[in-house]
Amino acid sequence: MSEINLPYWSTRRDMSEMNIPYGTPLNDMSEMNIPYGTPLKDMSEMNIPYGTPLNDMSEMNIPYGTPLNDMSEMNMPSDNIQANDMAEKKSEPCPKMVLAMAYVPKQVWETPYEVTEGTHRGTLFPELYKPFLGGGNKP
Amino acid sequence: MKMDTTPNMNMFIHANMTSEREIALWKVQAYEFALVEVGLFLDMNPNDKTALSYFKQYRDLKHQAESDFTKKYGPITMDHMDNDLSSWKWIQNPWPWENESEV
Repeated sequence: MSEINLPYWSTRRDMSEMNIPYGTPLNDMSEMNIPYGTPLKDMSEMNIPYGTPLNDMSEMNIPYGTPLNDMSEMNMPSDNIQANDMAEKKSEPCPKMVLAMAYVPKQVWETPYEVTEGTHRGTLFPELYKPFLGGGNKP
Repeated sequence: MKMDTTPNMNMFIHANMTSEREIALWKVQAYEFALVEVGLFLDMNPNDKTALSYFKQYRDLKHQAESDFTKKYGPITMDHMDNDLSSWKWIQNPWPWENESEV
């Protein structure tokens, strides 16, 4: 091997932001004016200290994830306007839930799979085994 | 330390895992995977006694499997305590691209 070909993404001339060797100066980042992040009193959703109760999350009733035929957005409509209309019709207000916040119920211990079975399945815990079932087929 | 010999143990050893070496390596991987999984659980539940005792038990099993493999087939990691340093065996291993099962 006589020649080393650099991968295409490594050419530095394409990375103009590299001209600032020490990163973005702090005075260019106005959001940094709040040095300690969003104050808790501004986050009303934090009033639920332990997250959304499970019984408010009706979608959790499907133990094997969303069947593909319930995910109409996967149909990939031909134009975006149609897609937006569909999204608007679909979105219904969820009580006590705010946009752009993810809720993950805390895992509780359960008897794990035997180790080679777990490695094979990709998780050690039966509760977290969620194979993708295209078309909504049940195992 | 007793090896894990539950009836399931061989169920997920692939049909094309023919050599003893591959099977031994698969066991090391499986124990390590179990430790990572329980480690993640413990990140969220640091005082869970059952998880802690599972972690301890499988840490022992993983180290035993790793030790057995190393003594028989050579180093898995460069600095394992069971590596035979009478010569630099690290470079004698099949490298990933020389491993037939991954080609």
